[in-house]
Amino acid sequence: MPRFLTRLPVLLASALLWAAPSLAADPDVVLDQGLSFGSVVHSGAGTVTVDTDGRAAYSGGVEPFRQGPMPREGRAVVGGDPGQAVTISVAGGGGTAALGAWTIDGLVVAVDGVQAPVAERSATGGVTVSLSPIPGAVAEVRIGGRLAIPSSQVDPGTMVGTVIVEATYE
Amino acid sequence: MNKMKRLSTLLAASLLATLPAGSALAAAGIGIPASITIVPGLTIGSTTPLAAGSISKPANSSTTDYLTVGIADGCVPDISAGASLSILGTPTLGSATITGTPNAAITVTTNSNSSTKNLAGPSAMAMEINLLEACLDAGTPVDAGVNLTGTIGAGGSSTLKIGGKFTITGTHLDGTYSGSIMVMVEYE
Repeated sequence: MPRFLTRLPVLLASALLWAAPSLAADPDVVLDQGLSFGSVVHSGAGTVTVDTDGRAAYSGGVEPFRQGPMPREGRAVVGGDPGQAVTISVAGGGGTAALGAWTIDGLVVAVDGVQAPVAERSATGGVTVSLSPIPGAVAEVRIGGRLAIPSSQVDPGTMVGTVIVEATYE
Repeated sequence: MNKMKRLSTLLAASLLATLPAGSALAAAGIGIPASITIVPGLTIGSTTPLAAGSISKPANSSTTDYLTVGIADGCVPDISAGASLSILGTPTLGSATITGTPNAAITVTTNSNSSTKNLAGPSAMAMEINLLEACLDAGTPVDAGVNLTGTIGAGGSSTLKIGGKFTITGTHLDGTYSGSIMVMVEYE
């Protein structure tokens, strides 16, 4: 019995020591920059599409207004356990999001800074990546999409919305 | 015995802490702001003609004279006529109201960058306007052969004015001479 009592504290001490390095950091999603469709002149139904490099394309009755805000891709960084597989979901895994009364469709996503970078692809269904094994490294997520503007009268001003980006450990 | 129980509890708690993160749902999310800015398009309206008014032509058929409905600095009329012409009406600068985004830079192209325009008259006879020029608000006039640049006024509109030099000869047939001067405006 005395021997048993002597070993227990050793076991306990051992458990406490090797438990600490196994604690996983929760994934963390931080905003880098907002997704902007820039500034446009509207004369009828049309679209403005921003890719994951921030390049814009216009169609129909939508033209760029180069003296206003410039288009740019949305950016977020995802951190977490080095090497951990994580699924990044944009707009709940769907391909659309609301921008005021309008709809952003064709959401696209690209991911850099991970073990296998993901080139621009549809955001539908999300994208699963493995975080870099380098401690502190983050996944750089870039988001683009297509905004359809109707032909109806459009008041001048700025319309805003939100695209949710989530990261979940596999 | 109590000491044993306490030790066991601590051990169990430590083991739970060693569970790998992957066995639990760990997630985080953020909302990325999305935005678009809409600006009003450019429109041209409220036009008034570049008008020579009524002119009594030179009595001598071999005489050519000029009525200048020009623009001085400050975008104000600068009107003069040759001695052989009698001005019976009121010559006026052409004008148009341009509306758009306040303070936005614009480029105005007048008469497709040509400084000469022929007006159609009776029996296919034409009257030439040359030295076409234009200005914005209280700005300095520029020749129609080059683009006019400026900014929309803070209130969202600006006034474009157009002037030119009418060539009138003693052989011009009596009647009305008319035509259109194309104006195009675009954001820079």
